[in-house]
Amino acid sequence: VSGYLYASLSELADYNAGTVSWDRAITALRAARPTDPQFARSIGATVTYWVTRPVDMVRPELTAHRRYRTLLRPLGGSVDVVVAPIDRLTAVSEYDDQNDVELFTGPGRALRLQAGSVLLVDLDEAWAVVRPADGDAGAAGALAVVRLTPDAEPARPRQPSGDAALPWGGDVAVAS
Amino acid sequence: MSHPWRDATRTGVGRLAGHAYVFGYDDVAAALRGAREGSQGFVPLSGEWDFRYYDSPLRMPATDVQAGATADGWSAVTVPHVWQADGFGAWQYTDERYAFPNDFPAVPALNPTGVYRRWVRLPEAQPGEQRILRFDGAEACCEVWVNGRPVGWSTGSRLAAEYDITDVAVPGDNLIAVRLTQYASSSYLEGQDMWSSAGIFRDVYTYTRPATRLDDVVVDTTMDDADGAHLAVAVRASGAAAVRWWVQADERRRLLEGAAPVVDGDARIEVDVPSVRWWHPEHPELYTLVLEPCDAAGRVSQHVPVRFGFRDVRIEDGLLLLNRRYVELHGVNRHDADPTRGRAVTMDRVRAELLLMKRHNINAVRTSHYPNDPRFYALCDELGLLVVAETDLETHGMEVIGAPNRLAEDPALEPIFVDRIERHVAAQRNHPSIVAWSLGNEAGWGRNFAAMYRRCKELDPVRPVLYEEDRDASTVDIVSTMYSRVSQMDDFGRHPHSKPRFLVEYAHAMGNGPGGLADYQAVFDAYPSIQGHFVWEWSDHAVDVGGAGAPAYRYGGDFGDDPNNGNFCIDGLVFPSLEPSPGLVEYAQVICPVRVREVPGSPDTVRIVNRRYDSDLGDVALVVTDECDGVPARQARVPATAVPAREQAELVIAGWQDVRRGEDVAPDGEWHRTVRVVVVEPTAFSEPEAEIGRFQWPIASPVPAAADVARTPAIGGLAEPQVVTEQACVRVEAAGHVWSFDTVTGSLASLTRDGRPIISRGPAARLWRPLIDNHADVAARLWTANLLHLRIESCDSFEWRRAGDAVVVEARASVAPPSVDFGLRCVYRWEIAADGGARLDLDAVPYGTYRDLVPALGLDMQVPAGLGRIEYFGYGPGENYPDSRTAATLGRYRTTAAALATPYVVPQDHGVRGGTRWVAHLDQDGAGLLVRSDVPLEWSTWLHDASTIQATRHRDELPAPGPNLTVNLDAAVLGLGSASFGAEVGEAYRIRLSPYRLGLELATFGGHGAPTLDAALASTAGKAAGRALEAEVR
Repeated sequence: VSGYLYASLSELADYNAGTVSWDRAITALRAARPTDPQFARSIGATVTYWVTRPVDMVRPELTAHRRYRTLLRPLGGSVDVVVAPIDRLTAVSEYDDQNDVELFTGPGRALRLQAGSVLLVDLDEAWAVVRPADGDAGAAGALAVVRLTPDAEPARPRQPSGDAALPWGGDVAVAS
Repeated sequence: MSHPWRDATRTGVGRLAGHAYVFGYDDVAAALRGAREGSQGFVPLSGEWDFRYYDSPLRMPATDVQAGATADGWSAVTVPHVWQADGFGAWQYTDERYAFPNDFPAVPALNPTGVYRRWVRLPEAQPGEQRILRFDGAEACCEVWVNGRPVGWSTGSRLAAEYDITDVAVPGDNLIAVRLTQYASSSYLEGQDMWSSAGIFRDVYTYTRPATRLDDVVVDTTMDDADGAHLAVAVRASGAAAVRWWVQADERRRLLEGAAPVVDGDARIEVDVPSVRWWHPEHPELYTLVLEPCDAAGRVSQHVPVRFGFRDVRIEDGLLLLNRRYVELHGVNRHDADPTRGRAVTMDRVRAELLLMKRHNINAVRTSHYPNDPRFYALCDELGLLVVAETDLETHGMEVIGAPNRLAEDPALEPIFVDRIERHVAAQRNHPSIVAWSLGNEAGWGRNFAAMYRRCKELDPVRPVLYEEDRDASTVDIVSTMYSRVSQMDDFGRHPHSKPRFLVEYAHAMGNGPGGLADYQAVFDAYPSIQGHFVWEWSDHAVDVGGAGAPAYRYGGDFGDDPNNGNFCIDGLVFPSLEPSPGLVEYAQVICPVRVREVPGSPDTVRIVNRRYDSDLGDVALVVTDECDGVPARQARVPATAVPAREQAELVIAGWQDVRRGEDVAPDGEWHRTVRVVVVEPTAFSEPEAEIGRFQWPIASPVPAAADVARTPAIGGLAEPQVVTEQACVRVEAAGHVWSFDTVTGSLASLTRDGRPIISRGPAARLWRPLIDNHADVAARLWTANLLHLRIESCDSFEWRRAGDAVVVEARASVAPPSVDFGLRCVYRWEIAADGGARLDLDAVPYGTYRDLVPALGLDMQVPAGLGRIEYFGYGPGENYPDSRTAATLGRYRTTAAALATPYVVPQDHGVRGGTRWVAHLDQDGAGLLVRSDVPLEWSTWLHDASTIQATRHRDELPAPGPNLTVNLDAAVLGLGSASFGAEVGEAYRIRLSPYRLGLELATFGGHGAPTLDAALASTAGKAAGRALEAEVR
């Protein structure tokens, strides 16, 4: 199983609040609004975040980061994503220090992120936004993206949360 | 009882309002010279003062400031100074913490205090004349008496304070007295990362202003759509009916002139100028505006010069424009710091620093974290440096207690906050070099900053304002962050703000580093919205306790100061002596305003890219050198060509000249083209032919391959090596060489040739190099607990055999730290030839589970200190590491072991030269040891061994170099990064514990009957080529 899923921001906070970096990440997610201008902000050097349209995040490969964990939170509408451990994937690009991106293809776990839920993608995982799940309404929705410093404590185990994420097809292949 | 130093509601009493830093002169010639010493009534008060030191201001007898004070107990000090530098009180260095209890606005009762007295002879005042007493900087709370009468007090240590002493001064001798406390309530707003010190640290002087006088002036210039200028001058005057004015363009020419009436004390000049020379850091053109207030009869009372530049700053479409063109600020953060004088820097030093910046392609400086001496800005105007002018405000100590916004949000403190920007802007706003105001540093966020912003805009509606703690630039005009990592900056660039972005601090230059500058710059260059970046920081702040002898630099904790932040203040691009560090050399190359690239398929052409913002390249020439194996073979000069700003061109290289050193070049050698970019003519900051950057790339040999290349014939007739076995020792003797192996450790113990020592300790694998400051975090997490710095070797087997006319020695050994379950399994295979040369193949394979970061993968050995002359073919000439190698070019360099010892204040790993194909250590007679590697090495040679360097905390405490040099031959070393505060080492420059191999040819040379270095090079090259051929055949 890849990807940490939290039904809500509160659940994320319940499990991870209490360190500077995680508190900043939670603050960022709490502050993010669907109507925010789409520029990247930061809290200290540990958290970067922005709000964007899910449709603008769609790309054919899975993206992995070696330096920053990724938190995704739909702010309106739901979003279909794929997440996978990178050791099951095929790298299709060199790791790039300048953007902390390494691209992969291969099979992954398909998830539907409901509005308000939070997906944490760890450093040994890759992710891809497949599409907004709600058609036109979803396309108009917003997705908060948080990049969290590797200095943060590893995420604490969370309980499975069947309500937040709905598998919509089990493992799928991305651009393989 | 209320005391000024405990008064948190005011910033002063009796202090005059801030105004432009200008002086009046009696005649035009003096006005145009602009030396303040020649201004009206100017009397310098810097120099010798009587000084008394108390542990509390309350211990000062009232008589200290009276004329009749006893002469007992006074010392003489020279102002400006900080009294710690004169032996009073104690130095203390803290980064974030206050050095006193955090109980705003309380101040400790024991509060170091200095009392200053000085007599000054003053002439009788003219009717209506004002006499002003001015302090350019005094820390922290400064009370002033003249002839025993209080004239006022002020806080705001790095903001000037002026007092009108007309009514208390007398013709003849006057006593100026000052009481200065080190701490005050204002100290909570001055918690910058710097030495805590106190004193009158900038100049003190008095001057006069006549009855008809200019009180203030504000000069503003804008550029119209046709590059024409609009000049707007607002004058505040007393007793004047009109102000005559002119603009002096140069020594002989007046550009403009006119007169403006004074109405209710105000006069205004507005004029359009169709053609001017615009001020830009690339061409800092200055004019002088001379203002002459006149009374109703037309009598001119003074001539007031204002040096200014026509310069337009604005933000349009989210971009900062200078003269309506795009610009980026390639900057540094600069503190006032001098190793012997603390904050009381001399203007000679300031000028030297600014010249050094200019010589290293820096075009911007942030005055972290306070206003500078008023003359600093004039120097930036003159030399061409853009200034982010920060005011004196930091409350970092509040963040330490978890209340970063406490003071910023306190409405009662709004006047205190506003005062700090008001005095700053009022004084400096006529300087063209200032492109942005900064409201302070790390002082939280709150309503008081919004008030500061409003006041700043009232005083200067034009210039943008920044303040990093306004994280999203909800109020300020430029969004800024600190220490954002490379990929974060990429995020910011991909998702840009609607306002320009600065990275106001990054690349923490503590000790050896910073690394990764080129990666940062690649991201800055990719996104126009990222318009400013400022390395932290310009200079180490050390205290030199060496006296008249050799420097002995000290840092936090060395004075018994507690709390302290140790050597966190030793974090500059220049050493305390102002010697550039390797980090500065790297930065200069990374931000070089000219780039040169090869043109694929066109060997006689280069592409030149002009990255300047407002100047062509008509002053720049290229010196092109083709080098074979690092030796110049031919050279050409590409003359200056006026490639416009932000454009590029292809230039033809012609007129090659042979510059061989006599030997034939090898067509099959390793060829590179090196292009040096030089500024042909001298400038205000550089000599003729000053190099501003260099570029290099591999090229095909321009020399036709010979049909049959003559090879050095193998030396025949040599006796095969002799092997002598003794107790725990095997000696292999060949052609005067004795290779002695310790069969217990399995290692080479020594090499001698004709009885002279060549190797003192043989090569041994290891994982450690002395810790650099930028690796402290990773060391704490990974290395210290695993005792990586300790090396225990165990020999598993040792054997020797003959192989043809050579002797092969093979040792299998383990190298590991104590107590841990990982390390290296090593095979050392030596092949010693009849000519006495040898080849070492080291095959190192890790065992155990640790596969994380290590400082190095390689080996070290020792050679006699007498072999301290060095020649090598690798990257140079300066120190370079994998993530700090932009400034280095491959070449054949000569140096010495002493010259390789980079003078880091805290001894640490240093001196690496990457890409090293071979290195030779020579004695004074030119004899020595050559090591040639199969693959490029990360090589360094130290005067001391690793453990000595690691254990020594101050450079001056390093013991005298011992009998041996330590030679490090690494397959890889970890990049530097800047994680002492900020960016970790980039992934591309990380090395983890993994298998590695080294293949080295070792040969001696020089001396009686032995080959020269060049012959040894040819011989070892032949052997290497032979091995490559053998490998190919196999």
